[in-house]
Amino acid sequence: MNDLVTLSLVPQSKAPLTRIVMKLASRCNLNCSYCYVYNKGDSSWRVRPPVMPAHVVLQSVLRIREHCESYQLKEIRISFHGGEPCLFGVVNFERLLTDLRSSLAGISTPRFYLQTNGVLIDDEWCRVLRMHEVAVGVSLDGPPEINDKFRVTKKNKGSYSQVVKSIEKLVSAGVRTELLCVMQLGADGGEIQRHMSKLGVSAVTYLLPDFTHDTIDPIRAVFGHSPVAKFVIGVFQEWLIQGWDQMKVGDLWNIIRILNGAPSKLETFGTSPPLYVFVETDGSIEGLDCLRVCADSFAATGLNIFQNDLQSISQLTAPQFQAIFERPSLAQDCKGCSERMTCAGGYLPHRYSSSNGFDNPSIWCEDIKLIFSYIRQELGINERLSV
Amino acid sequence: MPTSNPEASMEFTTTPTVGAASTPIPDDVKKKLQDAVRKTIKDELAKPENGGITAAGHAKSSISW
Repeated sequence: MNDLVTLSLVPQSKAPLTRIVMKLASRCNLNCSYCYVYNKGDSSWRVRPPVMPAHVVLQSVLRIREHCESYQLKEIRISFHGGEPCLFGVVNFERLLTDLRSSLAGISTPRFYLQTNGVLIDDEWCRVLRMHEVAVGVSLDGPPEINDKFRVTKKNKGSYSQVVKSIEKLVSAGVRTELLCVMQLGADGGEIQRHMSKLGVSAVTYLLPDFTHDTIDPIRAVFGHSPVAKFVIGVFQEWLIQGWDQMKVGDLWNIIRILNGAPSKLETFGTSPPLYVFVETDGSIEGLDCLRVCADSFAATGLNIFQNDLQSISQLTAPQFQAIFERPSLAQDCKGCSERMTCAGGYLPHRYSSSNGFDNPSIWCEDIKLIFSYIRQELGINERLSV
Repeated sequence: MPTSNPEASMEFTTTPTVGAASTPIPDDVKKKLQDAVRKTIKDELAKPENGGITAAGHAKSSISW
């Protein structure tokens, strides 16, 4: 196997990747109506192994070690994603964690993260996650009447009750557990935040809905021009009323950071590049996963861990790959905007149109401006403030 | 497990008013939050190591801020 690692070892000029996302499964046991992997037009998952095979796992471990050695990284963040990564199996997962730690010993400290729908989490998963200090993000969209409209099994049964049981298990087992929630347009953000705060987790992050300029019109027709701002401001108000120090709201905390002049810690706003890469179950190296909402196979690079090192994605010139390493150029319409250094153009997939590429403001531009303005006003943050 | 967003959410109709808190938020709560964020930023700036970016919503387990 070692001869496979000798390819392309020359470090490149771009900043090194600091997070590797391993897609342990390309299938999912849920069929959420809005999923960007399965239900937004991308079909690349169909030709991939359902779970990452042993030889791809091994080569991934070698590539991660090679990357840490080449760039002398003292720490590397390794996220496990899917599909549903728990389909990989808990025995295989524990072996992988052990192999990664062993392979990186004396080179780099791995920090592990798992993003799951929570359905398969049981006591054994909790034991492994706790023992290996894996931080877990569980996807949940709010109370059952909201969550179960979208986050359903393949038989169209709601997932809420099972997921909440899993969250309780994780919390009881002492696993660091946070929630990931897609903003529900038209729903009361305050009500959802109130619900999330009762689940015993340390944090929740709300995700902007994924659309492009090609697909947003029907949404606007129903929800008007600032549904995200209405949702987020509801969350913000509830968060402060219930006690912001009781449970963090990741995206709001991050917005307050960037309004105070700090670098962003989320890729949706701000000038900081994400510096991560995905490894698919067949060993393909891919860029920003969510670009699948733009068009079929839009995240594909043609690179593979058997022929290429992880950092080689930095040599691709298309803006969607350069965006991993440096904030993409602002759209023409954003260059005179007062939020160009805070929003910095928004999340790349949300800028896309088939006619104009990424040379557009975010579809959520109006919402972002409203949210930033509201939070500045509420917290008394000067527009020119920096730390 | 990947999440993005729903056409299906069209079924919801509640529309909180932008900027109008149903319960007023005390000024000292706002100030403490702002102070806490600024303190973490200053603490980060004092460290050579930068913390890294959360591969948001999508890559992300949300954890690292």
